[in-house]
Amino acid sequence: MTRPFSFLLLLLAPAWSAPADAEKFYAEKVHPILASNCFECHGEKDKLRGGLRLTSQAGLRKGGDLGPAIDETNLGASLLLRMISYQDDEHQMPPKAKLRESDAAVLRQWVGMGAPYDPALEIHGKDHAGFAITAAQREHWAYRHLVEPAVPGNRGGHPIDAFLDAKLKSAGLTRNGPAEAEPLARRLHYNLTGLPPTLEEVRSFADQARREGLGRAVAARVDLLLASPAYGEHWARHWLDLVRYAESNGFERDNPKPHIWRYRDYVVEAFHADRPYDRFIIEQLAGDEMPEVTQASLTATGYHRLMQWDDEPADGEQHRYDVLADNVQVTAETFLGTTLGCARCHDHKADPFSQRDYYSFMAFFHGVTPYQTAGSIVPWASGGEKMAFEAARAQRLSEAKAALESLDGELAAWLKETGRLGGKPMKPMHWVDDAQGAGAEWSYTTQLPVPDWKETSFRPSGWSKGRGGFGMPQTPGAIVRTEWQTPEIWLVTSFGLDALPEDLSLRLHHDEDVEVYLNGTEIYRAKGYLTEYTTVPLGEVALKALQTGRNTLAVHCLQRGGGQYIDVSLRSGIGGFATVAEALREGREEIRKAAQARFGRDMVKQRQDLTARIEAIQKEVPGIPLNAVQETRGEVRPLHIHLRGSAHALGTPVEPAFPAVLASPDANPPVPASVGKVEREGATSSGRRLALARWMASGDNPLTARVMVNRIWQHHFGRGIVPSSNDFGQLGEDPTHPELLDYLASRFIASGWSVKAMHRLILTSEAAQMSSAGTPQGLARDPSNELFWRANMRRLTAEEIRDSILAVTGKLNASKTGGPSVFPPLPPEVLATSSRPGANWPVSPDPADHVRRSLYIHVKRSLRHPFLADFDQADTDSPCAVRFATTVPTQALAMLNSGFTNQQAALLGERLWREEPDLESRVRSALRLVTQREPEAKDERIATELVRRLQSVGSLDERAALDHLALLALNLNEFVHLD
Amino acid sequence: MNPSNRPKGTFCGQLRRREFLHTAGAGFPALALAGLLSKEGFFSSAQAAVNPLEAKPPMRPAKAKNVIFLFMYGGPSHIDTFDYKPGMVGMDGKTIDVKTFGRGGKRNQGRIVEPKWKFKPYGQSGKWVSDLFPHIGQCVDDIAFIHSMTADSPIHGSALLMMNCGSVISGKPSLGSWVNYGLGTTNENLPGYVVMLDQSGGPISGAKNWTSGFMPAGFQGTVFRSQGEPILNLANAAGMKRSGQRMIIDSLNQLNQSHLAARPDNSNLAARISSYELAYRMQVSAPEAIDLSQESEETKRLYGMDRPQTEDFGRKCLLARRLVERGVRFIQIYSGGAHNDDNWDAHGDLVKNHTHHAGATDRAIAGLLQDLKRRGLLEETLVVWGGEFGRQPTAEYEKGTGRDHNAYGFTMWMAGGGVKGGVSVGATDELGNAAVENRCHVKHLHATILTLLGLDPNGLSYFYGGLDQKLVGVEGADPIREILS
Repeated sequence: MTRPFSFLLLLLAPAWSAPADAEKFYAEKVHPILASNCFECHGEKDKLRGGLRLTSQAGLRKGGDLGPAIDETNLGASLLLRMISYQDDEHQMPPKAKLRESDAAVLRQWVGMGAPYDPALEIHGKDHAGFAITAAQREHWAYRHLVEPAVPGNRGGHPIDAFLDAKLKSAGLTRNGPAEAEPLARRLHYNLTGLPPTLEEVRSFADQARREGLGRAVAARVDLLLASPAYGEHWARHWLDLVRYAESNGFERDNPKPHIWRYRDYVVEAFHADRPYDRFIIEQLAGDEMPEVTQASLTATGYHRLMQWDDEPADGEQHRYDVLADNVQVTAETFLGTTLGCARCHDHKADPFSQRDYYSFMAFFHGVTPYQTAGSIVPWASGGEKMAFEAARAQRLSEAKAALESLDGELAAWLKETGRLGGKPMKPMHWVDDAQGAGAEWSYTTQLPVPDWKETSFRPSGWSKGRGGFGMPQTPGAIVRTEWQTPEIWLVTSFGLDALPEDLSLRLHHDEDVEVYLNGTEIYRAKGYLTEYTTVPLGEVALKALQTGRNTLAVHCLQRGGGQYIDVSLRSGIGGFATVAEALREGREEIRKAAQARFGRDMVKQRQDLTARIEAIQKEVPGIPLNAVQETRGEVRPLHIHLRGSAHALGTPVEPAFPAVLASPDANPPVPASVGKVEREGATSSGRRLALARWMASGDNPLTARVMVNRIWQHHFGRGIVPSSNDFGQLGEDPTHPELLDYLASRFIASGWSVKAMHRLILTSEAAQMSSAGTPQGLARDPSNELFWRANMRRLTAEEIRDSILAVTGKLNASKTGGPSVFPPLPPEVLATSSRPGANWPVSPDPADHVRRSLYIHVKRSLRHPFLADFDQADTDSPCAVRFATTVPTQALAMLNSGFTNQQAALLGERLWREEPDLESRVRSALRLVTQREPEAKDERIATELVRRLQSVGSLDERAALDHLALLALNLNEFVHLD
Repeated sequence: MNPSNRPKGTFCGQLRRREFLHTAGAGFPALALAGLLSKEGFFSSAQAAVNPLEAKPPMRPAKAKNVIFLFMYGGPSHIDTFDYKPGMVGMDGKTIDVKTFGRGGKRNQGRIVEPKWKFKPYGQSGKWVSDLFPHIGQCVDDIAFIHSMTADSPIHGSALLMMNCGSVISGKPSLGSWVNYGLGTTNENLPGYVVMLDQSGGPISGAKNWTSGFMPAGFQGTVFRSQGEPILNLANAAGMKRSGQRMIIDSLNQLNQSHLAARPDNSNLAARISSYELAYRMQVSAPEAIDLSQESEETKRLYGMDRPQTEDFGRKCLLARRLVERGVRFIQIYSGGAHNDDNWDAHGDLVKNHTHHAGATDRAIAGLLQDLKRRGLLEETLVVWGGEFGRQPTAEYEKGTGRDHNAYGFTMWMAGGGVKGGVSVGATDELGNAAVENRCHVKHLHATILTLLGLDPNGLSYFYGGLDQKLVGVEGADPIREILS
């Protein structure tokens, strides 16, 4: 407030001059209106919507999120009055209905008095305290500077075991001994590759363990598995869950995101190649701003393009920020294990993140160009590739141009010879003009007319009149003189002729299907739309339809999608052209025919083809298209705090800054100073994301390493040391072993952020090799295994189940990796749930693609693969840090009855029939294939008995009964669970 | 009882959620059926996993036990159906200043298309209903109309998500998921939340409309077909007889039991064994639910099943009653599917479109209300009618009667399940363009439905992404009290 105080006094004077009257006025007139319309949400009880208290004068003056409710310098402009006036779509109070005019008048009068209250009627309450970070919050375990703790004890064993045992010991518990070699081999194979081992692989592991000890066998097997491509595929899936990877946009059209699969392949390759995790972070967040941009780093920025996106939002500005907020949420949860979402609307109520922190964080992303319908395509080529491409392009271009030159030479000579070139125009006549000229006056209708509407005899009485062209201005190339926005239009106009011309052409620009009639005769018909005016020479039919006197030109045009437009002119005598190009572009049938006669080939077509080829060569872009991010401007639109999360209620502006609680002042320079623009090949980037990524990928960041090692641990032990692996804040769960977490995080950084080194460290511990068996002591004292006294059993994930079924039937196409996603057939019942059944699900033509790993199945937001969805595949719209493992009957139905499991069971049955000589060995083989161990005799008996009963009671032959046996095998609990 | 997956106590989480998040072995809430198992004497260990689908008592006294949501996809025109605007008669073709917002964008002017049907007063309440719904007209004394509905979006994709999941952004659980999360299911042999789609196809965004979002998949809607096999994978595969399947399950149980014997503390294994029995029973109970041979001809006629025009929707409504009788908690039936005139989206010829869709549903819906009532089911069954938005009072195009979308004001109605009959709340302006009196947002509608089911709309929450997520949004919303009986 800059006004002098005395001025304020002056304005408020009327209210103070007769306080008793003012109080009475409030009590009798105003209070009842406020009490029945406003107080419920603004201070009567606990609720303070928008932070506004209206039950006291102090509250009114202090105001809420949008500022003071009363403008003491200009009472008439008070926010309160603007709200109740309902003038502004975004700000209307009370929300249920506009106040009665008489009530509004009372409030206007009251505000004009300076809004006096009757103190006896005021309600004062606890207002929200301002935002402040407490010392305890700063000391929260996750925000503390990372220091490598000493390994407990001095036994010289594996450090992980030492940390775990220290806690177990104090709880009076002991760790389980090692698992049997067979279940351990399964666990290692699934946890590292998502695929079952073969029986031979299990045997060789067991043999090695017997010969050289379990530790040696584990270390060797881990090395082998980490080197396999299947490892990259399996661990990429964990990452894709976090970033809610999907390949379509969602919403009405749910269009595909072109080329986004390259991001998936990038993640696979990053895990496979053990890309250092710090680099992995920087590439995804700012791969386009790195000093050395590579194809991988640019592809990685597809990270910013994975979100749902509405191509037709009701509120474009709000949606832009909904999308950005979605990316902010995923970034904070994925890399920092921090849930910032809360602070979008108000200061975080539990964690030390203010609304300012939130928008300052969002500001790092504000330079990213919004997504577009066709994707946000950035082509990639290396410098050498580009030079080679340009050289080749220049060569091809000069060849095509030379060919055109020679053709034009021939044509020019002939055109001159025949007086068609350079001469005077041959009496050009526009019988009906188009909008590039004056436009013609048409009669038109958008309702289906009588059948004879196109005849000369028809008189369009009752039709509207308008000048061409007709349509919507946004249609490319349109010159709209009359607006048309219905699906269909019929146009009629007439013109007089004294003598018949020798030639005739149409010039037109139309939306989709068009028909043109001349005196009732169809002279032109075309499907599809144009984007500019085109000349169409007309032949004998049209010339014959012409008559002296009154002629009628009638047009019908249809519009199915996109913008409407139709305009037509009818002309003749457009001759004596200035250039060959013009002569041929105007393209009269007469010239075409004459040229054909003269040269014996279609010169017009030949010239068109050459021109098109030159244009195409010029338009070619070197390199491969990536759905990625590349800032082009360098300047970033200012970002303001969005009050209550609304993009239409702007608070103070913000600059990029790290969240205050995480940015220790000594370790981090102020962000704006460290943000520098990045130049790359003519494009300028703000450098903001690079600044953020470098801060995140630094060992000084207290969260980054802790969060990632916890994820790796989680996927080996079934739960993280911090069970809420996306939430390391106050609302998350504390680590069960904080020192171990810090130890692993420190080792992770020391290893150069090597994920594979972390796998090796974890998997070579005895703890990772424990059996999952329950012990009376353990079950009694620590039933939920908080202290990791045993291995946690787990059910396989959706992808693991599908891939394993394919693996044991021998059909899995595991050798093909990467590339565009595949579309296996889906049941018609599932396709029928779509608003365009079958659309955007083009079944892959090659059956070998139907049996690829589940990772490669197209991820469409509105159409999930039913089998994978049944088994708790991650949702496509929200980050998923921990998969659910539900057990519901629809899963059993899918396993027993689906086409997929039954086809695979039949293949397995066939395999058993073919590969094994008798029932005994077939039964044994079936059980071995799914459990990867020698079956017990009693299990063999149960399975054999099934086949016998199917034969005797069910009257199946053995071959058919084997399909049933195979289905049994695929449904075993042991098949889908790991010990 | 306050269904929430986070601990009770202070917001700042002094109580840890660990006790919830860790269940035996799995490290995360397993949607195991151990609750059902223990009920059947299968399993009674103290370590039984929590079964979130087990029936739970409501948080507060409930009026309704079940919901049938009749979704008029595409957006029926309120001023041609239930929002009587006699003042518009005679204004046809007049161009006026009016702020509208539809798929064609925002406009400030338009040509009035006056209501195309005549209205008549019905029942003791004298409610005016258009000639599109002569049969629903007979039921107005059981219906509460909300004429002042508003929504955040006038575009199908986002508006459908709003009406079904409470937000224009996808990823949030749908209403039916929240209901099952809050109340569980009382019949484990049938899904607790079923969705019946139109023959022409699903709505825009398909399964997003019945998703469980960030909740476990067990809470999502199950697509239910009114003929043939009602549920995906319910029928045995070719070459598989029911007896053969039984033999497989018996052997499977034996093998799984011997696997379980070595791992007796793992409740998930036991739950999976039990799920096969449930699946086996579902193969019997779901076809039984759709077998209408036990229904009398009189009942089928009541639903309009004797007429080709109403046979399909009538069958679905009758099925809805049968599912309610069998304990299915939440049933949604779509009138209209796919795009354009396959649903209520009357952009071209309003008369043709609405005549068709009202004609296909009027008799069936009235039959449902009457049948529920005479069987004493209406008291505990909440029937909800409406689309994702309404339509504008003005024409979308220069010619014709087509109306564009309208989220500024539209009508929905509810009947039964603790709703007052014969009442109307809220109002739109004299043209029906925007709600002006007692405006109700979609979240108030959701709050009303939850309240009637005995759930506190501001207390029913699910902890995800650092927030206590609620169907009605973190700011909360109150029910429309005027229609609660």
